[in-house]
Amino acid sequence: MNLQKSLIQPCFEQLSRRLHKQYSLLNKTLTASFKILYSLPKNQNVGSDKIVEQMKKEIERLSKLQKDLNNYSKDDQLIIKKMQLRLQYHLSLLQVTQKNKTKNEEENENQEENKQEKDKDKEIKKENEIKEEKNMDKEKDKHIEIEKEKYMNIEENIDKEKKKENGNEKEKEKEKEQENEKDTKFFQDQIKLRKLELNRKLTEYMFRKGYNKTGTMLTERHQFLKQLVDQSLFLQGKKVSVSLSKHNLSIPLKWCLINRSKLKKIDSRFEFQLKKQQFIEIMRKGNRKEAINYARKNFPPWVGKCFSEIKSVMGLLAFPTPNEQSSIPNEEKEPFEILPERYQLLYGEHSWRKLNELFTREHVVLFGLSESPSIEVEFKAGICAVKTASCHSLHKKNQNNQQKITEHGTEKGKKMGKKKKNKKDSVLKGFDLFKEKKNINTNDNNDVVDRNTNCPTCHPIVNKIAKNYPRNLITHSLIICPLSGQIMTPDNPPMIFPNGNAYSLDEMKKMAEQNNGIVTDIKTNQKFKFTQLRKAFIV
Amino acid sequence: MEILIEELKTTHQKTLQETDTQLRFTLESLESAVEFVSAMSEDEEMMFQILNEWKDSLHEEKRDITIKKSQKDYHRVLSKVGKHLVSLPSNEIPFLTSKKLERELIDQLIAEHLYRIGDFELADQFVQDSGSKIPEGFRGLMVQMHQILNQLDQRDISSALNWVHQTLQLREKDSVKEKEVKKKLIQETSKNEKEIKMEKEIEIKKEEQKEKEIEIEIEIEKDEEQDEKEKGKGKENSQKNNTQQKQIIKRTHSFEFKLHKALYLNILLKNEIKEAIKYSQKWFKKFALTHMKEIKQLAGCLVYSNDFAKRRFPELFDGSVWLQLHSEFIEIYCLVAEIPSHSPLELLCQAGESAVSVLKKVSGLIPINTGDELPMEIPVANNFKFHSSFICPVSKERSTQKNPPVLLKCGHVISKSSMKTLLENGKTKFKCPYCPVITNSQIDCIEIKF
Repeated sequence: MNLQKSLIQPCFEQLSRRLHKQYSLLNKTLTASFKILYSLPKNQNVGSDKIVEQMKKEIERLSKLQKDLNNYSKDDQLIIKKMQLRLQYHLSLLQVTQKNKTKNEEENENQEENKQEKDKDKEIKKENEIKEEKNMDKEKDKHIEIEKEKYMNIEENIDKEKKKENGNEKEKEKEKEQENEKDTKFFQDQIKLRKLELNRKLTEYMFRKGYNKTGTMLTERHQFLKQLVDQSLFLQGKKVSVSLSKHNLSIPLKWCLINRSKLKKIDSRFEFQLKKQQFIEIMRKGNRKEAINYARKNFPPWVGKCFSEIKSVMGLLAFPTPNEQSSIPNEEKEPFEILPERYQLLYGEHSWRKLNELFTREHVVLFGLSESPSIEVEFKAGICAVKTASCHSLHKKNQNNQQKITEHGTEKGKKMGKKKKNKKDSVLKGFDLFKEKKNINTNDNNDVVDRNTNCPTCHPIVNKIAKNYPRNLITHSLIICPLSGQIMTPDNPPMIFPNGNAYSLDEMKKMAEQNNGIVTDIKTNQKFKFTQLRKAFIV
Repeated sequence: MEILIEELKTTHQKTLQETDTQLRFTLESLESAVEFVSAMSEDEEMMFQILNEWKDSLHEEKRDITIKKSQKDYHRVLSKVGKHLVSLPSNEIPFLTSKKLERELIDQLIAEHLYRIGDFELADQFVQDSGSKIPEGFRGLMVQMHQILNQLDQRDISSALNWVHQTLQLREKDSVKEKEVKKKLIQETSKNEKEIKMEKEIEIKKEEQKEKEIEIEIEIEKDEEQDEKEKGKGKENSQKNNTQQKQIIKRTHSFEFKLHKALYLNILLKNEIKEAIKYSQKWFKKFALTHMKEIKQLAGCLVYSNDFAKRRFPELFDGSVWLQLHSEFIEIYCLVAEIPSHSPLELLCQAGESAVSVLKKVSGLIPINTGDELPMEIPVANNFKFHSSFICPVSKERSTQKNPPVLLKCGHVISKSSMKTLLENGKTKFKCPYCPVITNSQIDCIEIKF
């Protein structure tokens, strides 16, 4: 359900706009030409030649209309096909995510259960899984069958309606059918589908940010991408944003006019912001009268929503404009600097930038897409899901505090008057001090940061982003063997060394076999006998 | 939804049909009228009579009205679709909206991702468009990796072998270097001990210069600490490097064997048995100690004929060996280069797929702070879990350095704080909450570091 809106609404908007255009064209020409045709017999004084001329004109007009409508509808049909393709794509994605959800839930449930229950339940679950998969496949097959039937029915209907007996056309239709089948097959392949989804998000990101060349390159390399991404939408939006960056308000105002009803539905204030900027521009030139007139015309409909903003903008009238000279004599400052900050901001670049941002957001929301590119949203959601307390590294403030502690610590040690420091004792006893001196990365809760190169949140760039996002709540213990990287299960429990380090049973067994029953702790290089290790039961 | 779109399609075609036919008929009647009029151009009265009749017939047929009506049908279905779309919930999750500071970083990540895929043209174009920076050397690493991968896909193992030999040589050199470094450190620390003894004797003799000597002491202490630091760092680093090096050497060794194995199987497929024997004699000696079982299996394949071998060991002869090589090479290459083996962007987006729906539901109910922890758990597959975390079964708290997990006599593990609560008033023995075994808190417990 997530994607459906963002995929299909742009197509819908396109279709509805085209419909409006077509309808208005149709209306105009029909009413005009039929008027003339109905009025023909009344012009009794006009010669037959002229009447024939007029009729021929109308013939031309109507045949032109026919052609135009045909052309329009061809493109419309393409758009409708695009919609269907997108819907198919979305449904197959849904199935994939649902499958993964059930898998995840099953995995989490498995961690909770005990051994005895597990064995029984495993079998039952396997059966259920197989059943579910069969059901899913059945549903998929049903779905595909239904669609195929629909296609078949429509094909038949078209044949009947058109009554065209050209063999070529039938062959084309068959080819289309086959293509549709290919599409469905493509969408069934999970891995390809996922890759396509990632690429789709990447292309959307490219076009949103304005990296058009890379976007077009991406669409050329992958099938279906052109139909899944709305390139034209973003290109249209660029025109307006370019004019905004050039401080030109005419094109954006036009755009507002065209989309007024839809902007109202979203409850947008973009039009008001444009008018406010216009007011500021008039004030910049110094025409207070003109500015007041403009305000009187344009601000009243917005009083209900934006009254405070109107007030603050009107306040500009009280202060000297950037071009005017100050009325206060012997004033050393320039007139612009007398203004309090918030008024300075209004005159500056800041308000134009805000306008630009507001436009890019609203433009995209009008077509049903989300405000921020979907890749960013998913990426950050993934951070929240994957991030753990061990990924996060220390803030700089805490580092300074730690340095102070170390200095203090050494002075204390000196004052105690210890004569002989046995090095071994100092290493082991003052373990905490030792750690602080070393400035091990610990986060606020004094967790040890353990950078795993494969963990995506430990990647330095991701780490910077991840600081601002919460981490996932963990309800079940999960221990990973540092040697093998595997998750420890009741079948492969952690074996605890006398010094406190833990490794998995399998790895310790292997090590013991190869070394005559002696296992070494890799972190401290200490050697122990396999029999000294103690099994730990993690609930 | 699909039904609606189907309807849309059909109505669109219907309307097209209708308008087309209606317009056609009007045009036909117009043309015939033109013919009549031009034929009757001389007789004006007749002409106007015909025109009137024709106009009345037009009126009756009402073609323009039918056209407009048919358009309305299509319009109706389209608006249904529109209403349905509006009723769908929006995709916004408030605390995940994009922020300025993140944009550059995300661009960098995308650039890395594109380089990993191997599409260098695209990646370079992206770097140009976005102006993002990549860490030095990353591009070169990826270029090399993809060169070797391309060769592997064409069943050519020469460049892979070269790389393997290079890395093994480097690692061996490094391990030799490290041993030398260790020796130096040990020598330095022994020197420092001697120095300290000397200066303490001076201290005892000269009592007037206590303050200065205390200063010297401080300096020595600081030096000691620095040495300890270095030693410690060196130790830890060398330990980490040691374990890593060992792992790397092990893995590259077995990877080399797999390379040779794959080529050997290729030769077998062509039924060139003598060549296969020669190849195995040349290359399998190195691996006799570590991979004996596999070598035996491969040697056994010599005896079988091609078809039988395919049935007996299908996984060896169907080309999956090369696919496995492909993925293993990526892993090993990244391990050696100390970069993650999968693109972090791709992994996080995969994890985010299921996370987004959960977050949307919850953010509507509870406001999520961008603080420490989420208020609910997002279920995540096991391949996204890279760090250990222990949750005490008694207090349901996550264990930290201050509150580590503790191993009891019976083998159960609870957190230190819950152990303290079980101890009453200075007693040292307590019962495990899960089994009736009594543990002595000072003797039997070990603090675990996961």
